[in-house]
Amino acid sequence: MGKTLHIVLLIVISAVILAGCGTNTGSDDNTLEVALWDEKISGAVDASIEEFNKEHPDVEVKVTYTPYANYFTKLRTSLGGGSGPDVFWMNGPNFYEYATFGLIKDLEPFIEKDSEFSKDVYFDSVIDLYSHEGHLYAAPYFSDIVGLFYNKRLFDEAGLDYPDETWTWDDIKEKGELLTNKEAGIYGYSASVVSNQAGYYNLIPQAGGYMINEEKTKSGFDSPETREALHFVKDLIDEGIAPTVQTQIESNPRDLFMSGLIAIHPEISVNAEMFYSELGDDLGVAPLPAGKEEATITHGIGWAMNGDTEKEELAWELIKHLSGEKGNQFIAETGFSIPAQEDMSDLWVESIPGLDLQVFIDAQEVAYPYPLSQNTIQWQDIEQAEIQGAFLGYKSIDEALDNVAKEMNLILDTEQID
Amino acid sequence: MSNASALTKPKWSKRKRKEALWAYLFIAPTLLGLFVFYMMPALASFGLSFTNWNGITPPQFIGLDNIVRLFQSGSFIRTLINTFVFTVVSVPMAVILATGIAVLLNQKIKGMVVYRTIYFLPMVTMPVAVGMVWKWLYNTDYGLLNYLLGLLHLPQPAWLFNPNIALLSVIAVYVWMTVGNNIILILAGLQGISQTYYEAAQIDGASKFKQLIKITIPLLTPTLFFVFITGMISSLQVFDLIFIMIGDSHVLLEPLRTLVYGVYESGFEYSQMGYASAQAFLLFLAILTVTIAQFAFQKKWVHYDG
Repeated sequence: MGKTLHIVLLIVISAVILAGCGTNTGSDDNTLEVALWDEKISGAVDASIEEFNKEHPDVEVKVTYTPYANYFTKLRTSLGGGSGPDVFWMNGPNFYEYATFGLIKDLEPFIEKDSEFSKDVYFDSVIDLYSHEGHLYAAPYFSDIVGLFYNKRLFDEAGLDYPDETWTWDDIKEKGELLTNKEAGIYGYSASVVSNQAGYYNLIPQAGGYMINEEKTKSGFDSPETREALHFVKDLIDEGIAPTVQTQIESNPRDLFMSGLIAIHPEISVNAEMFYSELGDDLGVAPLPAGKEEATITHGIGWAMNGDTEKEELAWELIKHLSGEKGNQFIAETGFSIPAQEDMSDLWVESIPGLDLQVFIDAQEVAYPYPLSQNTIQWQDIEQAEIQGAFLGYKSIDEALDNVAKEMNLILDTEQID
Repeated sequence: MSNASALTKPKWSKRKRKEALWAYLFIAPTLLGLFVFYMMPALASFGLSFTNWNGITPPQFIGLDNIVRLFQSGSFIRTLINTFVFTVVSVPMAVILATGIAVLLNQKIKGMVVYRTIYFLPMVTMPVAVGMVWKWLYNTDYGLLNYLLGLLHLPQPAWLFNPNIALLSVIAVYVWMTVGNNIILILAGLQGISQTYYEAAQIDGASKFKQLIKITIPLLTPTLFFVFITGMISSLQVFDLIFIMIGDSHVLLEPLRTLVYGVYESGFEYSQMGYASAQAFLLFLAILTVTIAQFAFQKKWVHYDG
């Protein structure tokens, strides 16, 4: 009796310990785990996986969508623990850290062996975004760029012509004022401070400034141009043409626009489809209005491979299906965003016939790269807290911008030492 | 002597030893779970608090640098103050409110079960859901609360944005959420008080209020003590509510950042595991100190019946 009891005890102990220490990688040879954040693209992803399964019928591909707010926190924690998905989405701000820490695999060896994959067919901007020391670490999936969405119904009611390529900042102010209807709670323009990518990141180069210099050694947040851009935003908010930052934080401008409470709203191309399904033919899109210069922020998403995956051949096959010609075609047809393969642009433009998506393709001419350095996330947190704090009235805009530049320069200095 | 056997080491029969073994076997899964999922991480975190670790490359030993850095950073001091204020305001509020409601609920009237259920409901609701709903209720422009205030022509404050009232707004939700749990515990305590005391008091002509002060409250103190201790421990660790209500806005966080939020932010957002562990360890020390102090202080006010 005593002996069996000991054996039972040992089994319980080892079972619990094994369960506690086990990791997810290699849990099952025939499963590939995929992670990304935007569920709006699920149609295209599923279609590519179906294609992949035609060649690999025995492989099960599990897709997990995690909301963007927690996506990278979760991803990094699981990768740091030696597990995590095999194939996953990567964005610009996080790329440098993942590539340098070896959390994602250098794709160059796979590309060399593989005649089917060529870097030349993709937009240079996305290839550059995911290259580190000349090596590609994430396969370009789609490109996104900012355009000026507007609500035609609100323009008609105000008796105004729709925005076009001749618009400048002055038009935003002028027409925005006419479109604003305080009693009905309608704002003329969104002047987004909560989203830097769709908001003030575009205004800064339009004013002739920059967020970060080309050598990535100096912050441009304290330059006169940046001040001009943010004072433009502040004027619009102060005059009631745009919602206050408090309203923006509590009720995202994107949601207000979809509810017909904002007439003009700059937004990333990936939301075109969602806006169209919400607003239908009331939705229009135009190029961003010019300041001193024309500029529109561009960014893109790539597929990266877990640096520790044991199934690298399969993972590469899947990445190829997702970012290859067929995969791009699926993105184009679902209308999600500009496919990373340049030739697929026309197909995407046709995906929403009621909307002039050509605007986004033409905008590539004045594309301005999303600002990045090694520790983008760190200075972006400071940037957002300072700038939003200023708009909430905790401090002046100029003081906030000085703080951002100071802190950001300190971070950039440490990057030079590494 | 009958108790001589208690002085010498008890000699267990084979049967008794076997029984003890089975007893250990039955608690083994829990014990192991506790060890693997609580003790080991806690010990690891203690060790990590002396290191600089980003979660990927191997940790580097840096001694007490993390602790020094914590006390030099203004935001950690702010965090300590926030957590302290949160606890000192929310726990007594939740206990006093719960005691009042529990006394009212401890009566024989029709439909009492329904009332009790209603008061307990917030407790069985996920904090995440509570946070989401209150975030909408608190919305300055479109929230229900300000809509109602608007109908009454009262000022419509920015509940979560005004740094002066943001912490109080969250405390109100926290109290609302925890009061139900306290009510159940206190109700059980109230029903454990023997009716004979009240009968005796009535015969002596004591008023209802006198009975509450002289009988109910003193005999309830063991329960209140328990409610206080558990309440303090959980409110010192408050995180989920704040994470949901203002988590993605760094600018709003300052007046509301609590200790556990700091741990989460350093560890998982900035990948400074060592720094986060140091904060977690200090939090552990704080909770331990508060709990020991409460146990030491209990002789002064807790009366155990009989």
